[in-house]
Amino acid sequence: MGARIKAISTPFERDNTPADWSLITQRLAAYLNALGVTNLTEIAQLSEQVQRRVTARAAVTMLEDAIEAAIEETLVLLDDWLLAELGSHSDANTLAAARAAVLGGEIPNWTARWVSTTAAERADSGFAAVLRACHLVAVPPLAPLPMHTSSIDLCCQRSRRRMSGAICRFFCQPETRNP
Amino acid sequence: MSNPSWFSRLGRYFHRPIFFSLTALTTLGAMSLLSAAIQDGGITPLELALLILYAILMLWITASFWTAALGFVRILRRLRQQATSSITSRQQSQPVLADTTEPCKTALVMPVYNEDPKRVFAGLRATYQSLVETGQADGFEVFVLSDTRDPDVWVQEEMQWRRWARELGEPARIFYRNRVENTARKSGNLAEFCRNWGGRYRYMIVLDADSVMAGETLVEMVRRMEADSRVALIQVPPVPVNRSSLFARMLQFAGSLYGSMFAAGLSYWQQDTANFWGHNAILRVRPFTEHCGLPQLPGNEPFGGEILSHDFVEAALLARAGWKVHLADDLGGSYEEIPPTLIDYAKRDRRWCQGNLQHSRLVLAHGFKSLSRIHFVMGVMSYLASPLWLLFLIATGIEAYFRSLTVPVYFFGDNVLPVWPQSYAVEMATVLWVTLALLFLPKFLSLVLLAFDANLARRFGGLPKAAISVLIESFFSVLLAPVLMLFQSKFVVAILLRTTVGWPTQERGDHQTGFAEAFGAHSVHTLIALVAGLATYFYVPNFFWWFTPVLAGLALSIPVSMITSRMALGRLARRTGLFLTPEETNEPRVLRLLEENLAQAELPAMTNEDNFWLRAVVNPCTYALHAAQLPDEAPSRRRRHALEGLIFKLQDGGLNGLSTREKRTLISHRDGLHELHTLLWSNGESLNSTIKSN
Repeated sequence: MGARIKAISTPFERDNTPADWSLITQRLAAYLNALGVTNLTEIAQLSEQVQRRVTARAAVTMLEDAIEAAIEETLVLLDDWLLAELGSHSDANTLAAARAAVLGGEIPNWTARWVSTTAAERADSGFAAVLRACHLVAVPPLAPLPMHTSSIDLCCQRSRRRMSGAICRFFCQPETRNP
Repeated sequence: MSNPSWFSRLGRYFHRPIFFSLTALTTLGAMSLLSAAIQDGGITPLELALLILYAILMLWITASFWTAALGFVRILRRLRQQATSSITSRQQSQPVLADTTEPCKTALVMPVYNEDPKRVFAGLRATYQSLVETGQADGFEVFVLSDTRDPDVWVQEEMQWRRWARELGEPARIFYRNRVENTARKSGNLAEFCRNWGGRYRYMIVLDADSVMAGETLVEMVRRMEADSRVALIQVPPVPVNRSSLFARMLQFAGSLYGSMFAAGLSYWQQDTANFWGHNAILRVRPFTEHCGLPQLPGNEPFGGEILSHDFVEAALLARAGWKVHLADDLGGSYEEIPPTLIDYAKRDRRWCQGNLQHSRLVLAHGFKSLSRIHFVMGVMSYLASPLWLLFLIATGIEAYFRSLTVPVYFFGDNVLPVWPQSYAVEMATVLWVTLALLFLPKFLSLVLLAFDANLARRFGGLPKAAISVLIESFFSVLLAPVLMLFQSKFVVAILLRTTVGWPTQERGDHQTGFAEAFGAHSVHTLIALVAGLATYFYVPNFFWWFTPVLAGLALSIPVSMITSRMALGRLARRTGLFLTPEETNEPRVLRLLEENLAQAELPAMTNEDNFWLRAVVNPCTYALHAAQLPDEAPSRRRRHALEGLIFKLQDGGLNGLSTREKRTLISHRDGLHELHTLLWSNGESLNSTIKSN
């Protein structure tokens, strides 16, 4: 873990909003830093967006832990941005690959784009192509071949089976011998 | 009759009769010597047992001897014809890849199981780089077939793959997949590859985790497959390389010098029904998928269940279906690494022993070719020979003891003159010398080969130094043989008592044996040597002196094991020109590439860390990379609960509370990974302190 994380409690107000955002912001800044966002202005802007999301979420559902919610919302924010860049038809694998590409440092200055690009700019198909090009194919398309189990007849296997069958019949099914 | 190719075709029919006749005649000759020595007025049950044991062991030794001797003749002949049959000339005369509608890509597949990712990828990279240098890389794709269960190693493998794949760019030629379940181990791993992607390739070249192959060799293997459509498998004998310890350097030297002779001899009599050694071989994918789906053997382990040593069986199944299986003893550029110490060597034997003994059930199975049955028998004998030697030694000792009890009677009946007891010392000595000659002559023949080929001799450090190396190697092999005999006998007995031996991962890297390890492994051997030595010295003193080479090996096993594991001694031997191999005097390009890759293989900012998997989960970048490799699964409440249970367990018990399997489960699903990642970042201090305290 890059930055040391301090233990903090995250109490809630009666209306289910976090009481002290400064503590959450501290942890959030560390997490954004680990994501690769190093510019303080960008961190501030993203923290603000995350705070809005957490507050909105707290308004409709009971939050157990505000920091956990903030980390989750950060990831959702990132995914939302990537989905907007890639286009809504993108599947989970494309999204995961794009996330790996940006966090893996394959796209320079991606944090600035994440923070500052408007919806109109996100329609830029060039950036989506760059994102998709970073997708490394782990396996090629399937080209199946049937592979059936070969049979190996071990020596005496059949005769042993036949003999044990006969013994079993003799002792276990006497009615078949005495009609 | 004057046509040499017709003559050589006709000669091929005599290869096997020549080999088997020589083996049988030599065995009979040696047996007649022993029976003359021990049949003194009839034969006792013990003497009969001795004769039978000797017959089996002699058959084994003479088969090895004649394989080496025929290989010697073959290499001598090849040396004379060398100028006209170089690989390059053949490459020019025939196209590498024929133009057909069938896909002609070759997959370089490397099944791995908890191996060192740095070494795995450095080796693969070297092989691929060498292939690129041939200009023929377009016809090949690389597949890392991971069966790795260790989550740390798994994550590192992914990182290594990603780095390499990113470097190479498009089109993608480096693939990686990790199996969810490692059903049927290595054979299941290969079978799963064939079932999913077999239709994409005409050939696959199977590599081991420590294999390295030269690009030229890979191309030549494909060319040979293309040249004969009835060949389903070509095995290229791997040469051991890259180890520094004295033990390993002696093995490398022996493998390089004598190994080529044995391979040439094997190829001589095996012809189109050679064997598969599990790696460094090319396989035709379609017949492999049609005939090599391995069944489970009836019954329980160790003799039933999954077929462990799958390679022999796959070769036998291909031969049974009428396909040719070749051993390309004339091809170089095929390398592997060997265990660095005697104890590691024994550990590897322990893994192989069960698989080979399992083949005893297949020897008489219906439909296999006779030669495939012989391969099975040879596989069994490579481990059964040890307990048989042990029994033979014990029986000889008992026989000697009984003879020592016999009081000679000089005057009996009406004889006035004394009747001197007949001495069989000459016959016994002859038996011993014949046995020793059969064991050591191949070493001498290899030196004769060097005497014939000055260039080859230079690559082994020159004839005088090679001769000294052979002498020292022979001395150590005499010391080590009884130790290996006891090790292997123990494994065989454990398996016969139905104790599963298991399939532990091999420790492949260079390391040395400490006193504690050596004492733990060899103290029993030393004790046996002391007890047997005292017993024979006091009760059968005549036998004691014959027995000293065996006793010395066992008594000195602790220091010998430690000394031979020393890398400093190995390096010193190298500096003085001992145990040099051609790969050391003139390092092949592909091995140089391997060294370079190993030097560059350190992952930045991620080395020397414990619990790599957990840090990989915490690090958002690695988390994202790993998540991208996982399948997109439909959410399941049951799985979610199971994962949450594991996360609670991690929180409560720390890392030691989770088994490797549980750690793997935690990072095997995107939802579990996400949960863990979020939790670690939101609740960092308490969990981190727990983790650190472990």
